[in-house]
Amino acid sequence: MAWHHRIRNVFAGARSRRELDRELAFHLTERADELEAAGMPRGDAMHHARLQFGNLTSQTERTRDMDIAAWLDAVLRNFRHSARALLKTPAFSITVVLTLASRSAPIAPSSPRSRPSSLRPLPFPDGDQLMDLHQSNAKNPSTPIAPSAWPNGTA
Amino acid sequence: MGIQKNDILQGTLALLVLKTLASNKRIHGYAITTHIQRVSGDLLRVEEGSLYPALHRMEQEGWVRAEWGTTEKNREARFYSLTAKGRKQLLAEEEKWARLTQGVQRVIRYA
Repeated sequence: MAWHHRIRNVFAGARSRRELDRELAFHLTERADELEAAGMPRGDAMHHARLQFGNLTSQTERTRDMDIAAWLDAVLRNFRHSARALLKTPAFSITVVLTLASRSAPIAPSSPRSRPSSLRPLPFPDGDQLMDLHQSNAKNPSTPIAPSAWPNGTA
Repeated sequence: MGIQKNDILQGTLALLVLKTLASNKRIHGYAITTHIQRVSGDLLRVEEGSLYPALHRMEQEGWVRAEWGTTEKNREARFYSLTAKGRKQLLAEEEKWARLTQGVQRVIRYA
């Protein structure tokens, strides 16, 4: 299981983690509602809903492992498929590899070092200290509430 | 209130969930648990924590599709629906279950 965890930490976006948290939180809220409707005080109902669900953290992990394991399977399947396809047509594969190699070899050295402009600070006073401020909804962080607006540029 | 555990046999959860989705076009996880419990006349209770790993695996297998939507209570929930592949899988799972119960029956009846 450990390698799953490691791969997950590397590849899994925070977005899917948040979505899973939301999905499970919804489940607990609905269960608590039901218990409350049956006469349980709200606090107890929430507590009970959690107990009934089992170990929330480990279930969350297991669900995420399902996502990642299946994703990894798909990647490996695609990889094997491509490798087989390339091996079946060696002449084509070699041509592609040589073409890509001959085209990308001259480009490689011309990346960042020969274009220092991409590393220079922006042409503003204290350009290396520019900030971008956001405001977003904690429940749905991908949706900005308001665009950054600091007319005086001071905080 | 005592919670009577009647955990669903490993492997049958997929069958029950697929069947539930076949009779409910769009349904969230919580409603899947209540549906199975209600329809089984309280004989079956889905172990809630194990439902989501199963649902997510089925989604990755392409048996179910999931999308966010709003419930009648205006809450955001993830709704599941059956895909064509899931429908085929349901048939396979039903057949597997029939064979399993038939086999168990035979062993029980053997005197």
